[in-house]
Amino acid sequence: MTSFSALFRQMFVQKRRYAHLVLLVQTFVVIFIFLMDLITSNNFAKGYLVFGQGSHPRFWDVILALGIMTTAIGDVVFLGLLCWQNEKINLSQTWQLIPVSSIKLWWINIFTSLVECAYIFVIQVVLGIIVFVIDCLSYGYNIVKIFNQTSGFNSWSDYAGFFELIFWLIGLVLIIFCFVSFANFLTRTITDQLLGKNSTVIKIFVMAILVIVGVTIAFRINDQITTMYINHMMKNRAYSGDTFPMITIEYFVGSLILGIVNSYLVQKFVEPKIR
Amino acid sequence: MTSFWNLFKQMWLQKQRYIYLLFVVNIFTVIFMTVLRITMPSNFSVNSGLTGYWEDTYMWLTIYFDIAFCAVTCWQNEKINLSQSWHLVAADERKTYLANVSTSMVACALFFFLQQIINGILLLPGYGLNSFIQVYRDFQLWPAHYDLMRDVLLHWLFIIMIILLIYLFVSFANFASRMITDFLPFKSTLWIRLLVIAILVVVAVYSGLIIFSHLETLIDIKRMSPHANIIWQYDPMWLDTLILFIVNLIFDSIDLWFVHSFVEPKIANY
Repeated sequence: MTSFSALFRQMFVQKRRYAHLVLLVQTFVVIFIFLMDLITSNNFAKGYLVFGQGSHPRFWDVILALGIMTTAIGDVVFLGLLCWQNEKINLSQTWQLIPVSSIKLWWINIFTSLVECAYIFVIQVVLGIIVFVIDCLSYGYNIVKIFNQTSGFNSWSDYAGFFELIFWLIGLVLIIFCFVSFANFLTRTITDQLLGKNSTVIKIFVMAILVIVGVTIAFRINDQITTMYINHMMKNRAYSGDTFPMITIEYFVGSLILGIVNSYLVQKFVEPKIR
Repeated sequence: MTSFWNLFKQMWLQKQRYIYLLFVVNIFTVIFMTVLRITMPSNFSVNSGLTGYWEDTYMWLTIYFDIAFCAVTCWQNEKINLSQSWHLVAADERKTYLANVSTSMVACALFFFLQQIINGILLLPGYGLNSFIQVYRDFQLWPAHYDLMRDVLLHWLFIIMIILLIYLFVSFANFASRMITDFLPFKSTLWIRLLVIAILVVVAVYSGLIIFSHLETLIDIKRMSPHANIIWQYDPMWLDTLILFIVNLIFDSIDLWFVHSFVEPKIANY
């Protein structure tokens, strides 16, 4: 049996290249837009400026705003790349030759992707903080004061919203990975059982139908649970429109269920491709 | 030399399957959503029945499927562009490329008309037989109360130009990234190709945004100035169409040049 850490390290190294790719492209975008804005005297990041709102912004402020704008887009692209890498590993013969159970391989795969998301996000945030500090200095503001003003830190309960957001992001990423794997595995299981040649057309067809059915059912279930949750809150006279914690729990439960189904499919049905 | 028509017919046969594939998925989605709507009526909007539901929903469903179809045809285009079997055909490469793009355009048109038939049937209870015209009216592709020449024809042209632009730009990004990685001294990996494609896309999207925003400002200034004869629209469709047409011409000539002088098909056969 190959150890967890060895597998983890190998997968991490394979996927890390794509994190670097996205970071590189993001850096390029920020520099490119910044330079073009200088030349064409445009203001692309108008709505995102932190300090220079309404006045002529300084360079670092523009760079910070561009970084904030591109982070979200870059992360979504990276998520897509990771889904593709996950499925590539799930169906690769090389990876399946490793003496370790398929279930364990699948879980490590999902787990590395999650860590990979944290990796890129931490780099982005650290770079953002550095640029923010320089930006503050360039305006001559006191950084500590600004931090205290904006965070309003009194006790740890002030950070509840922050932790909620982090959990929500983890849940969202998990359920996306699990659902993509699920659609892929189930498509392969179904097309393997079908008579006749499995062409790409049939695979796409089955996958499209699975995705449509899955997404619609998920929306319906979400509707029902939201209604139940709000009714429950109304009954206890503690009504607030905040369904955020409920959604997070939904994501985690959903990924757990899909994960169990995926483990079963991976163990019983899924055959790696020849290539 | 193989004639254009022969190439067109063969490519059509290959692409036809995907039209029917997505069309079947589309029909399935419509049936599935209808059944779900009947069995589990939504709590939030009780008063609008099935008719109202489809009147509200059919447009975005159509657009989503059109985007999916556009992506599938892009993939098919690039597959043909890089396939060795297609390059072995005794025809000028530029002719093959043009046949490739034009079959995709025709496939898009056919797919859209098929979709509109389904949409017409969905709207039948609300509009009667007029529904088959109403589905075009909602997309502003049939004269209702606007001027035929100014709005409707320009909308059609605009859609054609946009699809053409997508095809040409995807080909351009594919060819250019391949060429650049071929010339690089070290081993060209997928990673580098992705990087090159990303940079090309970023530059193109940014330049597009800048050009269009500057044009709009230009038009606004002209409109505001007292001596100018009045330009009657805020963001005139003819100008967008014209710009797209020029951009298409540029990309088309670049693509044809690339195909003629640089592009090597891949070894892997399809």
